[in-house]
Amino acid sequence: MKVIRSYVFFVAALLLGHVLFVWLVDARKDFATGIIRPLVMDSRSEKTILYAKASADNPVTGILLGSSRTLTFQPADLEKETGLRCFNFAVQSARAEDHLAIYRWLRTQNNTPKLLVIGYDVELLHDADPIDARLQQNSAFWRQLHPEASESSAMRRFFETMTSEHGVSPATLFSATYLRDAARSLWLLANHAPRITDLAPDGTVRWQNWIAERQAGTFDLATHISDTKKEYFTRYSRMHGLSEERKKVFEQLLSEAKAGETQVVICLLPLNSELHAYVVDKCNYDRLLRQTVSFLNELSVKYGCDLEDCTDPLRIGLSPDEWFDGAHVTEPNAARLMHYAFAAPAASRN
Amino acid sequence: MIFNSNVFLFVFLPLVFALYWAAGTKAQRYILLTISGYIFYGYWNWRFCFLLLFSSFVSFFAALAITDGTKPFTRRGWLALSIGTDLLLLGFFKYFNFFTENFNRLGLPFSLPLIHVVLPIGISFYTFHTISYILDVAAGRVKATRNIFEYFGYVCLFSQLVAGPIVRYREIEDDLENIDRPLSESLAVVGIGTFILGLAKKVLIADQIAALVNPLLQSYTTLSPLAAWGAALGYAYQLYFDFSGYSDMSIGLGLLFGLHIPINFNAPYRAEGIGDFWRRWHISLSSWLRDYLYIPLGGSRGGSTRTALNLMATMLLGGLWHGANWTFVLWGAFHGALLVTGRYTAGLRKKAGPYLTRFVTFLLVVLGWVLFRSDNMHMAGHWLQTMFGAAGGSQAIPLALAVWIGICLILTNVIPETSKITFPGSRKWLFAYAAGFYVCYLFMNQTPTVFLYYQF
Repeated sequence: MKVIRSYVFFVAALLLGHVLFVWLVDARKDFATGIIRPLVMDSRSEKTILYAKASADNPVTGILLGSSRTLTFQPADLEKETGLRCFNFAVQSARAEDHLAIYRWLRTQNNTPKLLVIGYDVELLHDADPIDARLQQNSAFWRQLHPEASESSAMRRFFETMTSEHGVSPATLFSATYLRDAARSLWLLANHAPRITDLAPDGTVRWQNWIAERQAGTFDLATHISDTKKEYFTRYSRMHGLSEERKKVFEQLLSEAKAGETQVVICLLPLNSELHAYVVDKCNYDRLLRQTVSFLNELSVKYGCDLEDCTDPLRIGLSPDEWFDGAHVTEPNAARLMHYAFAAPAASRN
Repeated sequence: MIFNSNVFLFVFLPLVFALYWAAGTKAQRYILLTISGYIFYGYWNWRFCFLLLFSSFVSFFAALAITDGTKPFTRRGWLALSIGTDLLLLGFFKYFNFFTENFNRLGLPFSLPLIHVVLPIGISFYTFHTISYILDVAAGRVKATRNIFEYFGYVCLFSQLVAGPIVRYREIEDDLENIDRPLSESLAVVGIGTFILGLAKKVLIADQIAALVNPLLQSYTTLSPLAAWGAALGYAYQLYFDFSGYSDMSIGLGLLFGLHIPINFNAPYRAEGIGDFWRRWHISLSSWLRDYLYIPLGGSRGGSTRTALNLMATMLLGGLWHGANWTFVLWGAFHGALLVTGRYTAGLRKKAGPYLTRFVTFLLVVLGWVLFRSDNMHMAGHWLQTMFGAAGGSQAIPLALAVWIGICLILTNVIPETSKITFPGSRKWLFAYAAGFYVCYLFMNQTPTVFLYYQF
């Protein structure tokens, strides 16, 4: 059976070589190997580095928190409104625990912010979404929530990722696209090329494809809105109410911010009118929004934070064309939104 | 369980292979083949194992009764019982609702009830195995085995259980009788090479084309004539690479267990005439239909009218065998008509020369595949009308599909069939096979799909 032994040996060697390669490159940031810059943006870990650079000479005192929907908010616009030096610390798929972890981490940097602007989405307190794997893999943030947590070994992280319900399945790991992403990651590294989604030094996002399409006039907003309809339908259909656990975490954030003398401004973010109407019609978004407003009103009284309801894009003066899709605003709309929240006369809000 | 799945490739196959070659005696290997076959089959739905077991039991004991029977009447009775059982099972599970629906459409004052029947996977194949065995025993072409596990191992041999090839007992009788032979290295190399080539046909070609053809056919009413032709040609190649890929994997697996499963394809798209096509396409089915249906009906011995009727009957039933749908019946009738016509056009084909004949044959086969692939008669009619410009929309043929059609045209006309390829066994080549498997594996995980012939 020499033939069979040799063949099995070669197959095993190739599969092991594949695992080693994709693990080392870690293009999708699944294993937190951290050797090569991942192909996909991991805003949590990358923003810690950008923040350290941004605050090296001149302390940053205004922080923008939020999910991907806040990623386009320019710190410069906030600086204009507040006079503070600002940084965008919004991270993808942010939930309440992300905000608390980031705030606590900022305080460990001997740089307690004076202002926290939270771009708030209804799903911040999602009752069915698990904790994002990228938060768990980020030991700097994760330890802010679980001080007892020890740093996992690379091997342990690998097995945890492979066996976790929301981790990487063997079929995904051994797929052509996974290998292609690893190769692309190396190619980008070798050619110093930008990624499709990249971060600017102030923490804002650069969606290169969308920006290029908008500049070329080929951007099809209707298609992008249609795509987000499916995504947000799934997201809100799975959400039955506000998570009690996450409500406590968010309240803890406000409590610690108050203790740290950090002013908090919560901006309840809008959806594009078309997506808004769709999720109100198809899901329980209206009810979730009402619960959210009620919860935030309660907290704003209790902790003295400002609550700005920006959920109606027309009322706050957003342009219907300045969207990347049904949920993500472009920079001009982000600036309008911040202006509304900070500078618009109170009379214009009614 | 399917061949292109992780559980098969990394658990079932290595385990069964290791146990099989560790087993020293014939009896142990027969039992192992039987158990592994039932696990393979039961992985899909264990309840249908009993159906397979029942069909196997009936044919095994009927064969013994036929062998031991002294009176022709008794022998014929056992033959009828066994074949009748198989046909009843097949008829009930595969055709009951089809016939009921059509009967109810006759508008008679009473109607028959429809039953929710799940089609047991592979039933069309294993019933043909058992029917061929019992007919061969009755005709004296094969000696009935008295070893029940040898017979069960043959019927439920996992490499050909659910989608063929339809292996006749006599074709692997010698291998089964000498099952305790050690595995030769050369056979193992051919087995590995054939299996990987089959996997490559499936995941690197058929699945890639399917990803382009299926979306087109989901909106078949919007296709432009060119896109309709693209979908038809694309499906013709998808079907060929899917099914011949499956057959190669089956043959390769058989060789890895020391069993020579006969070839199922021989460059069918190079056929020069429809008769030639059926000698090259799904050979195990076409030869089965010829030997157990067409020839017993009289074959070509009773004059031209009788021959034409026999051909039509054989092809109609062959079409119906593929599924309970009028599209399959029509497809069978179409091929039957082409076979009948082909008997009178030999001279014309000779005049036209091999290339033109091959081209026309291929076009006719592709038209047939339109019927075969269509979900219903309306789809078939619309698709064909669009191909000939009588209907259709503006949806263009995807460039990638046009490229694939071009590649497949070359592959099917230039590259030799798997059975004609020599697989070297040096370390360098073993590494190449392993690399081939690795590439296929990456694509297999990309879009897990089942084989097209599993539905039959």
